[in-house]
Amino acid sequence: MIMTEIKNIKKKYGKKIVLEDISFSVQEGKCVGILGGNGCGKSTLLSILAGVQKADNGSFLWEGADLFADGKVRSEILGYVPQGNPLMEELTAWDNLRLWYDKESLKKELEEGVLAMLGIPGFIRVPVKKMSGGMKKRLSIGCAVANRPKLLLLDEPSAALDLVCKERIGNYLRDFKAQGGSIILATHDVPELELCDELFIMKEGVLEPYTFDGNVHHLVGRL
Amino acid sequence: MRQIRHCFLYYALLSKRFFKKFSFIILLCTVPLLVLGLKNVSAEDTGMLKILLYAEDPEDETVRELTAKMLKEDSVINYQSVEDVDTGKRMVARGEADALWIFRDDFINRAEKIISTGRKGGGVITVIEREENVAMQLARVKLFGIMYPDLSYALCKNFVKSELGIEATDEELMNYFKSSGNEEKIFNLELVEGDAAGITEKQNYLTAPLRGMLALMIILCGLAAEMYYLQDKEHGILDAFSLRRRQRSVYVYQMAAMIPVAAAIFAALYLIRDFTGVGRELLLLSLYLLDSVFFCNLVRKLFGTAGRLGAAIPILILGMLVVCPIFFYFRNLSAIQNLVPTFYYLRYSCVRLELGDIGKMLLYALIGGALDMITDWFARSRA
Amino acid sequence: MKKFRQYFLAQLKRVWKAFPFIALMTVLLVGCMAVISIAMLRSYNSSDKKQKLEIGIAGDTSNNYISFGLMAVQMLDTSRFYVDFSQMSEEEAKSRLKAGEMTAYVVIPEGFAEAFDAGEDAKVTYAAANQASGLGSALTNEIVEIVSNVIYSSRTSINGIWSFMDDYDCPEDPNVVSDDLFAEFMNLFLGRTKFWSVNYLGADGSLGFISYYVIAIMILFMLLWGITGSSLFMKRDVSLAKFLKAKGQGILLQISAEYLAYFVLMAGTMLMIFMPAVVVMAKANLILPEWQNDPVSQGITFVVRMLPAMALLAAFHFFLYELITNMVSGILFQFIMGLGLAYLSGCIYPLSFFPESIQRLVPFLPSGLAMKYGAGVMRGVSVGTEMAGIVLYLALFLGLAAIVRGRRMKA
Repeated sequence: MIMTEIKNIKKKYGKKIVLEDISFSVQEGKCVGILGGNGCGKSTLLSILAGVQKADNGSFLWEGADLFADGKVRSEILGYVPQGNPLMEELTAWDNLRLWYDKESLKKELEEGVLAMLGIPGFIRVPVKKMSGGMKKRLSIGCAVANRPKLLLLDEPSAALDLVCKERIGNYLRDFKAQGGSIILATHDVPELELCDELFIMKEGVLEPYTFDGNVHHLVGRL
Repeated sequence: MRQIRHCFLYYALLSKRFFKKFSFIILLCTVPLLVLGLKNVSAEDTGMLKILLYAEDPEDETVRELTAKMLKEDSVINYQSVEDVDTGKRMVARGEADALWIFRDDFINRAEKIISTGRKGGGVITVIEREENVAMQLARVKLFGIMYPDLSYALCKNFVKSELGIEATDEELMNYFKSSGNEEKIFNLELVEGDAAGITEKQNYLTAPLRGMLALMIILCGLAAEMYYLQDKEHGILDAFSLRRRQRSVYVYQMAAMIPVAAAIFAALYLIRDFTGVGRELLLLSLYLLDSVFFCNLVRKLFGTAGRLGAAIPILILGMLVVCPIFFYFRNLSAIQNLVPTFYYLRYSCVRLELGDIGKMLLYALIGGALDMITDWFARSRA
Repeated sequence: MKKFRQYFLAQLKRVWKAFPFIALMTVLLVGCMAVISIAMLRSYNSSDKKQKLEIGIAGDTSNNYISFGLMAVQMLDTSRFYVDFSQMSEEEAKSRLKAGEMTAYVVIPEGFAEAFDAGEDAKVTYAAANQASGLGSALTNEIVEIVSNVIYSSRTSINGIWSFMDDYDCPEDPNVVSDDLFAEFMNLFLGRTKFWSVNYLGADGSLGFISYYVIAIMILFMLLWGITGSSLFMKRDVSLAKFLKAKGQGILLQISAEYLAYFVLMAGTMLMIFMPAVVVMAKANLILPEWQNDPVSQGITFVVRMLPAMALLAAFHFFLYELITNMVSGILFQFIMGLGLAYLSGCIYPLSFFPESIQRLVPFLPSGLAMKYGAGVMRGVSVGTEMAGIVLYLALFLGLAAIVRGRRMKA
């Protein structure tokens, strides 16, 4: 049972404490959801785990390996989808994907793999600047999973997407979990909460476990 | 009334966007500072040409007087005396000086001999240059002008002897024929309508192009604002507006960008004393802003997208550097010059501003505005 | 390495999409400028007047000295190229000056001739516009000084001959004698070249005027061209940068790939413009002394050898794109820096026009270094020091760009 462990992560910007002793773990095939108001530090946590920023303190272990220390392993097992869309606007979906996939595997994934599941073949030759928000997000996920990650970090993947799109992404993530992948998901979205096996609320840099009872008002009250 | 309030609100919000960017504030501060820096630099010893002076006979009185006059003179030519010929030649060869003038010994006797015989015989000055060009020719003309009092005296001396047959001493002749060359100048220099223009300080040739360069910044600012507008349009920020309002909102973008930059330029012109009075400068700048708005709008419509406009900007700027009287003034380009608002601004910035001049700038705005509206109308009717 | 290659190729593809339009625009507009320049040159060469600066004359020019002064200046080779005098009324002169059709005008007041002949303090007004083209005005002023000296000295001598003849009881007719003397002055002026001999060292130790300006125009163009890449490379969104970092493509790798793509775009466009320009120059017989042997091939070699200078300026632009992500500020900054550096580095007025302090500073500026490098390449001398400077600047600008991006990613 592969476990991802996040231990005592701290982060300060000047005097402001953004993350205070963040610790949790993610089992294989499970999804951890992190809820919180805007600017509470969810994105900061994910970017630290992704290696974009450095934590002031703490460790990030996967199968005992310290991913903060070993960038190579980290880039092999992680897939990270940031809030914005990490795409080159002037190029097509195909061009953006070619950055991460070689030709053969790209064709294969488009035919019957993860890209097909995300519905990307439908707009493979469309320039990114002409795509809808949903298309861009699906493409971003497609790019993120090129290395067949074991752990996905998703920062509000369904924000501003239509229901069909959300469903598509949700189906993909369920499939990912079923195949043994782990997910850490920062979200505001209630349907996405259903994906999560474990929930935490981030408030003032501190992570608190939470159980969603289906009542959004209760949730808002906790935030 | 509501629309006007909305317009001002939008202007305030756009301005806030610009001013929230630290880079924009730095830019505004940089303009007057850079200009002031250049003004200070130009106050140092400068010259278009650097001419080295060497006297074969340092005791020659005539040569001493000539070289002293040149070294003291405030001119676009920078004179410097040099210790020996070889040093001077080396400096010229290396490009550290433009020419070396070697004043030969027995200067005045040689001059008299040339005048009396009409033959060159080596001349009175040996000029060492790297290459011949117009600037060198001008320098030699100036040299002749400086030498002229002595040469005319030598000529008179020879004339008196050969034509009148009178042998007189130098002391006697000097009273009649020697002009020091230091007398009051025949020409009384005036800056035409400079009083009316309010200009009291003539600009150094180094700082003279500054007004033009700053004026170009306004155009560039307008074009950049157009690109900003196009980007916002692309991102759907203006989708809430009606098509007509969307079209009109570009003016707000331009004003939000151009007005602060114009204010920085206003301050810069004041600092370098190329300033013709608050009211006059404000009027000219306002008219120029108005003309620039329509000019930039039409350029944007010509190119269509931010990418194409961005690609075209450097070439447009280069073109305007040539066409407008910033560094050089080419009179044969009036057909193109009349299309560029910067040309009007620079032309009227140094003369008395008359009603006709204001009228011309307003006419430019009128024509630009009409073209703008017509193209907008076509766009709306096709939409 | 593979990751770098993939990302670089992706950036190249981006740039390639923009290249056709950028190249087309550049070629079209440079072509227009070339047509204008050729038309201008033709009009200057074919004109009898060969005027560059026109000076209006208002008033009575029948006075001998004024006529002499004007004739003398018109007969000067240089001023014939520079100055042409036209007779007109003061009102017309004022309005033409205001219209920018003239550089200056001269007003000879009534009674000037009599006052001047009588040796009184008579003045002629010379009115110039304090126009932005300060160089033209400065040159005109110099010529006016020369004329003033000539006229004044001549008058002193002519008046002197009258007094001399009177004091020495000369039998000759003073009118005839003064006319003869006047004619001598004219001969003196016309024969002025007898007073100097000119020796040319040749431009071996430094660049000739035209060679200098070929380099200067290239550098000016390259500096201003930085604005072109703004829409492609000025980015506010760092999502892609974060994504790439998460994927193991560090900031330096990102910066290098993007910079190289930009450099390829810039170099491609510059080569597209300057190579044909070299051929056109050769066809128009505008042959630089340094390219005497084989103008086209030497010219093209020169353009190719200027690639390091292009790389330097490309790095400079790239740093500015990274530093300033706001479109308006970014473009304006590119312009101020580009034109400002070009001006100070001698791309418009020669560097020798500036004070010593600036001349000493300029070789350390990126534009000055590029000029120095270009001058070295043109002259065929060793440019090792300049290359080292270029490499240092490359490292500096790209390093700074990486630092800025890192900070932006953390924000």
